[in-house]
Amino acid sequence: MKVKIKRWNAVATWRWDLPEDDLCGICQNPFDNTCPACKYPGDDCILLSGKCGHNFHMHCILEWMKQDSAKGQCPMCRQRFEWADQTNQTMRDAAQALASV
Amino acid sequence: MAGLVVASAWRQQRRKRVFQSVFSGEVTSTTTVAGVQYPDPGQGLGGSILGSGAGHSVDPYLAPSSSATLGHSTPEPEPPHPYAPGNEYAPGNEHQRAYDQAWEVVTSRVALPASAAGPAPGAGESSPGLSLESLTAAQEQPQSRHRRNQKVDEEREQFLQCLSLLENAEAVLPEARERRDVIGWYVSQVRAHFAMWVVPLLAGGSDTAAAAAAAAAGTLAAQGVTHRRHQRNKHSVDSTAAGGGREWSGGSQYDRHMAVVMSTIETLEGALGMYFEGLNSLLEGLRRASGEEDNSSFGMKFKRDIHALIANSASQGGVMGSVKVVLTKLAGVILGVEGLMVSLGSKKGPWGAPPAIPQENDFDVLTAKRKLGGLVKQLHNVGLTGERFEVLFAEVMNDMMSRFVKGAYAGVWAASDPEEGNVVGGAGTAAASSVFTTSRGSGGDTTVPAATSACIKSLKDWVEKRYAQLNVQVLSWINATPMSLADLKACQSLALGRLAALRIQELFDIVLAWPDAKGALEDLKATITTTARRQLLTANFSKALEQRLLHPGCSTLEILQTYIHIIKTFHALDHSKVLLGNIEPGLQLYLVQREDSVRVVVAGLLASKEEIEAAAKVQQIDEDERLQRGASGPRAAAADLGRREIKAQAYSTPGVAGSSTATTCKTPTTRSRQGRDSNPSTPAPAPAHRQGPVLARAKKVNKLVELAKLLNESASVRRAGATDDDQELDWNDLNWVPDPVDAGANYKRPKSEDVIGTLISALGAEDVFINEFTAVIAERLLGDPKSFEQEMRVLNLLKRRFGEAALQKCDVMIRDIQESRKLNSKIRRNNAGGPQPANIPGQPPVLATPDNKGKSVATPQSSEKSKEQKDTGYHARILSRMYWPAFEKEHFLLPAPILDLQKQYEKGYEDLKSDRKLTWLNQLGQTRVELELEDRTVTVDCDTVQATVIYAFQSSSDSSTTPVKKAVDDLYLELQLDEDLIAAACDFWARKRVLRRVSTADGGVFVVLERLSDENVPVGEDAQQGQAVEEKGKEKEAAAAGPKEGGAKKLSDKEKEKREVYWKYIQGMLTNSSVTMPINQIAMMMGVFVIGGFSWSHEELQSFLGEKVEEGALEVVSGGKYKLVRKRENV
Repeated sequence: MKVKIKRWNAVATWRWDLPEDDLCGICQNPFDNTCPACKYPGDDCILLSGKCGHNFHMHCILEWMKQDSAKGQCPMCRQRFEWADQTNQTMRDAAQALASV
Repeated sequence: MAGLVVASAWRQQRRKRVFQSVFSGEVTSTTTVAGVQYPDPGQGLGGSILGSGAGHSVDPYLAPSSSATLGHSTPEPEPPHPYAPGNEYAPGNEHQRAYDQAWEVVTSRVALPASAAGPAPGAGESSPGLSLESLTAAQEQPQSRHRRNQKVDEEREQFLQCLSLLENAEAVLPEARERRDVIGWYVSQVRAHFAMWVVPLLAGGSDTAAAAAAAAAGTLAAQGVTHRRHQRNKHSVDSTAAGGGREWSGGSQYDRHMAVVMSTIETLEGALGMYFEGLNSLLEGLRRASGEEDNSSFGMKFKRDIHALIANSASQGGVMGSVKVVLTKLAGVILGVEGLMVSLGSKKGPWGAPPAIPQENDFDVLTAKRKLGGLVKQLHNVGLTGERFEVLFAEVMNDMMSRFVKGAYAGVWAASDPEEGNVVGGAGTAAASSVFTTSRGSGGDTTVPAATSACIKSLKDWVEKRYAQLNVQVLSWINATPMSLADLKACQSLALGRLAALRIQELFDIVLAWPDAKGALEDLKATITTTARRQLLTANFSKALEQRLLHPGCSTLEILQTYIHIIKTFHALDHSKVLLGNIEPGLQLYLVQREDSVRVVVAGLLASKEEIEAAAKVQQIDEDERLQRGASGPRAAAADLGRREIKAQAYSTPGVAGSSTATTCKTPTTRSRQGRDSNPSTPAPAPAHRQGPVLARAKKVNKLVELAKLLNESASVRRAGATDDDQELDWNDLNWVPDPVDAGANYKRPKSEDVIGTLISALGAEDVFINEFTAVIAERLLGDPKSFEQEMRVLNLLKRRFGEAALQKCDVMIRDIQESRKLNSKIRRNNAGGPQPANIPGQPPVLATPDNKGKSVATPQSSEKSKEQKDTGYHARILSRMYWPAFEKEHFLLPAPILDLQKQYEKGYEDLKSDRKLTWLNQLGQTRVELELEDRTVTVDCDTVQATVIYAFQSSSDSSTTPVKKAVDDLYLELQLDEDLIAAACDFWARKRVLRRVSTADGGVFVVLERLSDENVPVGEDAQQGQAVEEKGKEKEAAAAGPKEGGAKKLSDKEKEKREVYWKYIQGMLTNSSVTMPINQIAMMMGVFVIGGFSWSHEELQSFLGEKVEEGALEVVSGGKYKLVRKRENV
């Protein structure tokens, strides 16, 4: 008998490739979930990783940065928050947005 | 002694003859015996008779009231008879002697005979010693009086003289100290006579007399029948004619009772005639003697008294029972109820028009009316139409009304049609000599709501024209208080109440017949005007629900379908929804218990357009069929064929995937069978009780498509209505009515019937529904839908109801699927444009998997493989895991090429979406495999596990001719897949006739069925040939039982885990808490300790402990307590 697989519809789930903590420190939603303002997870509600090693929903950290009291610090460790990765286009946009604040 | 016996026997016989000649049938042994026991009139009239009469058990009233009612000073000890021995006179008291003689003459003249009526002519002659009796007899019988005219004249003269002597005794015979009152004596005579002779006749009326009358009917001709007898016989003939040759038992019973009534009347008439004749002659004599004129009032009084006496005696006898039977029958014919009862059994469709009621001009009706008139007048004459009769008549009429309403309107649910209102009233209008014709004009009809439906109209007509008329007539015959207009109104509202009661009884069937029974609903709507009726309705309907719907015999689908009908029906009935709210709790409680109810509702909501159309088509066809049947046009047969075809199409349309196919297949067969029946669309109302829901199932496709339809329809409507809900009152609403009285405190008037809303709220909390909806949507989205238009539409509609936020998960899910499609093409493009995926540097050879098919490392094969991979359409759906239901990850090794493709895809994905990883859910998804066998090629759509398993059976090389054979246990090692899943997949392929089970060893050994002709050949190469043959039978059974067994045996991982945990707990308890424990205590402790609650039932725990006992880990000690076996610790 010869078996030819004509079609294969697979199913998978995605998750952010993060070392461990799975909750956004600001909104306390899982990273794989959205920030409170967003509707769709994933591309619409990306994460932003700081050099300090803390990750947040992009929208959450931007919102945080807008506040005067934030002083540009990571809400978790109070170091100056700098994004780690600038290769991604969206990340770059986000970084610019952050810088303009 | 002997002579005495002979004499009494002879006398008895003679009496019998005498009676028979007059009342041939009615003479009973009781009367003859009585006749022997008591002295004859001439001799012993007086105290002894009255004494025995007063002591008569039938007449306790008679004795004490004799003086009171008649107002005569009847001497307490009755006057001794003149001839009685021992009655001594004072010597020389001539006055007294003369008085006594006169007394004797008078009393013997007016004495009453010892029978209910006068003896027959000539009877007196045969007893020479009783000349006085013959004399009185002569008085009673006109014929004999004629014969002995001259003698009578003499006697009459003598009588009058004596009477005047008695009357004037004070003056003429002053010495006679013992004087007596003639009238008083006579009255007591009458009473005694009545008590002794007439009462037994009345009492024995129902049974003996009836039987005798019936028996006599045959021998009448021989016995010399009186004229009246003839008449009676004719009556019975008439009545059978009126009955139209109906069932004999009923007719003859009526005849019997009629005979009883007539004979009773005769008896009474005879007796009364006798009494009055005697009285009149007495009164006349007295008048002459005293010269006064005013004693006629006494005659009236006597008459009244005697009527009262009759009425009282009759009330205890069976005569009134007979009268009731006769009245019922005649009134039934007159009112047209009889005909209804007959037609009820034979025909009448459920939605037919009200049946035609016989008109009042019908021959039968007229005859019955005449007969009734005669009867009632006769009864009135003999005094049987007292209060008692009125009550009886009222009972009969009451019964008539109930029967009419039931007979005429049960199951008649047609929607109102203006023409139908004339069914009853139409023809009768001209002849309607109704006393109350004015009432139709009087618009101020407040007690009865405006008659809208045909039934109500015809019922009111009937009450007015037939019922009330009969009432008025009968009442006028018996001189009772005539009926007033208010009485008519009362009657009408009473009749409507009956109709309401009937409809309430039928309500469940009406609900099932929705929307065909709108007429019935109109009836109900117009009649449930009182709180009591509304309560009756809800109570009754709730009971019907429990009995007929909410039991395990009904599927959830049926219940929900019925529920939809209930909602619609009750909305039509009562816009306020209060009634619905009152019946709902039981239903909702039950639905919540049904686990699949939410699922059914969701599936119904998600029914595709095709399914809706198919259902609509089927319904349309049904409707057509019914109309056609109703019209029974000649074209019906011709059109039948075409319609059947359409129907077949309609049923083949719904493409329901997966498990439901079985039901879909079943539906057309049911239908076509039903279609072949002579009368598929007119289910009889009465037997529809239990079938109701079943019928509904046959009628519908297997989904609750009504919901989808409603959802589509109501979308726009609700949008408009949504704003209205908040408004207080619409001041321009002219149809505004106050809230119903039985509404609750927080009652808020709903605007629309809102079937879906009601249904969803009935299923429990909103989030339960949403969760279920999400699960169903997830399932459907993963089920390889071509498009999710329907899902999107339903989702949008549901969003309006529940709000965006509640259904956000579904949004994300749909978006995931859409995104995945885009991603698929993107990744494929990237992969195709990029370097050959199989040659990606650093990629380990995929064939490191235990796949031994020899897709070996050789380059040509590798390229072949990549070509094969190109043939394979690989798609993936990437889900956002937080938004989908939790899926368990089932680990197994995919076929090599797929694994390869999967890796490529994963890479492509990770290139596109940085920082994201994929987790494959291998057990989910669909595949299509093409199996090239030696004699055939099979293409099968299956799930991934099945595809993986069959892939493992692939021949290692094309040259190999021996079919591949593998055991489940080997496959387990090879695929690292759960054995149960492997076994199930193998069974799947065995059913597809691709694999064949050859042994049960190692969890089952399967071999590829290369040629279908091999199917029955035993696997021969091995030594176990014989064994294989032997096992074959068993295997087949095992194969058949396989899937089920597997399912039962298979404990889900969770369950296993749970058992582990529970066992730990139990061990701990038996170690630390108490060495032995009964099961109840264990259960209780578990309930306390287990986190998240102890989910097992008592039985489950018991069986678990039983298992452990079998394993030897536990033992049962005295009193059914469990104890740990401590073998290791002790050793």
